[in-house]
Amino acid sequence: MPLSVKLSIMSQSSHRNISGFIKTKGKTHFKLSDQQNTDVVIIDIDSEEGKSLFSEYQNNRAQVIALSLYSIEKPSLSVIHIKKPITSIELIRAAEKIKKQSKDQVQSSGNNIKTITDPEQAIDKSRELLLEKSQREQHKKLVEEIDDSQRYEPNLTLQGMLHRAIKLSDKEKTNVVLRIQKFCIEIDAIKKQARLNFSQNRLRNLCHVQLNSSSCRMTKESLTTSLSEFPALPLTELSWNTALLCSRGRLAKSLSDNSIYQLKAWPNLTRWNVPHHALQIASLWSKSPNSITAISQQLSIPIADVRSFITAALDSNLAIANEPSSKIIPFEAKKKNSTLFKKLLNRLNRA
Amino acid sequence: MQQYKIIFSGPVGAGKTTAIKVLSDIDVVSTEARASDHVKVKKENTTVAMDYGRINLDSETAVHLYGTPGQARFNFMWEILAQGALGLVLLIDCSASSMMDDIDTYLNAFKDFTKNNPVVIGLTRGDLAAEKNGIDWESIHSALAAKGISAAVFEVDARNKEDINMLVQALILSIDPLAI
Repeated sequence: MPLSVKLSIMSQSSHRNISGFIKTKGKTHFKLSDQQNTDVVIIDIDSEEGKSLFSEYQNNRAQVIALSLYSIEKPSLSVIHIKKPITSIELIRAAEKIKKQSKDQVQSSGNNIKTITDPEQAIDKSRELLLEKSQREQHKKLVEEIDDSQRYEPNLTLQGMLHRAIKLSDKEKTNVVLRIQKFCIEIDAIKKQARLNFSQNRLRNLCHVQLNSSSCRMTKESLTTSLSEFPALPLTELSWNTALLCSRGRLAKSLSDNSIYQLKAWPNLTRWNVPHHALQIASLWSKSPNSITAISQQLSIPIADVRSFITAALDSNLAIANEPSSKIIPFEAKKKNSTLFKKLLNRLNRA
Repeated sequence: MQQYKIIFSGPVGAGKTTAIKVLSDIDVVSTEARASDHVKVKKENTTVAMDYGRINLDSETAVHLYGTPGQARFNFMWEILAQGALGLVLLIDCSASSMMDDIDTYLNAFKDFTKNNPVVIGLTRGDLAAEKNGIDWESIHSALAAKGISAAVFEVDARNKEDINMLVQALILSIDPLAI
């Protein structure tokens, strides 16, 4: 039985080639349809319109075959990605995969409805189970598929130590000093400043070592006289830079790619350490609360950059975690002036 | 010919004329006069009507850059210049003790404009601020949040092309984050 398929957002030539294939060699696997509810939708996600439609379909958990020039980060279970140029073999494989997935789902739900005798009740129950299973699988894939190399424990890094020192200084209304061998960081939470007895360039090295209470000592004291020759650094800046250097594209254990975070204020992108694409990330995140996965997908950028950004933003108090029930409002690209913006951004980037 | 404009505003000596010079493809047209009031302590000449520069994107498209005069007595010019602009670049001297007041004054003056258009803030003279107590980011962010404004705030050197480019990029991406 061929899958009903809708071709959405693509160039005329791609549309011609794919529909030509479906009508000839691919007719045993696919059947073109203009209906709203088809088995599968094929979308070219290289265009802005395609990206936006793709996120809509993803939110609705529709089965999608996404076409793009570049790889996409961790597509969900309901998405099959095909890198351009597309071949007929890849489309056939995608069709077979979709059919197999749907067969597995029906079988598994069938096992769970054996005791229900009323056919209508059984269908409802089956639908419910299928939906639950797909939701569970999607969540599991997005949350648990992150292997340990992509996660880290901030408490065992300078990021965690600094966080504790700032809290202590704020609570006790006194200066707190962090000592790692000969390196000292003095925190003054009242003045919202820190002084380092070393250049900020050295922070990178300190952020690469694992720390504990014996390798990083924390004391309530003031070293202002001996550190006065070093310039004061705003705590926001120090927290941002430290968290970014500790994260290095990994996700802190307490965070999740799917949780929703809200950017309260933009970081100082001209002077602080920043991940790639920081301007785009900040501008999209400032529009509405969002998740790491959604930002990465909407902007088509590596998820590692988004993870670093939000880790640093949360640690420097520029972002907060939202209620789990809050929703993402996808940003809709405006058509007005889009050509001008592209030209102007290209020009500014080139300069 | 498609014409667009971006407004540069902020107090006297914040670096508006310099920022426009850095971006402009043409020699900047300035309406400078010898300062006669308290401004002459800061600099010899000051803008009295506007500064004008232009970015030529192609033969069909240009972005006009207008700088407003800094003194509050010329504030009637600010709104006139802002009409129809894509957005506002606010430059503030962060070493000045009046920094928070300046941010407040200019955001209030452009209140109607920023309801529907983006604003970005460039904090200039950060080197001088660092010699004092550094930039109080928390206060700036709180002040913006209190006004319900989500604006990019960057430390910039008005003479530095990279800094000013980034500020204008943030302005454009604030309109459409997917524009790149």
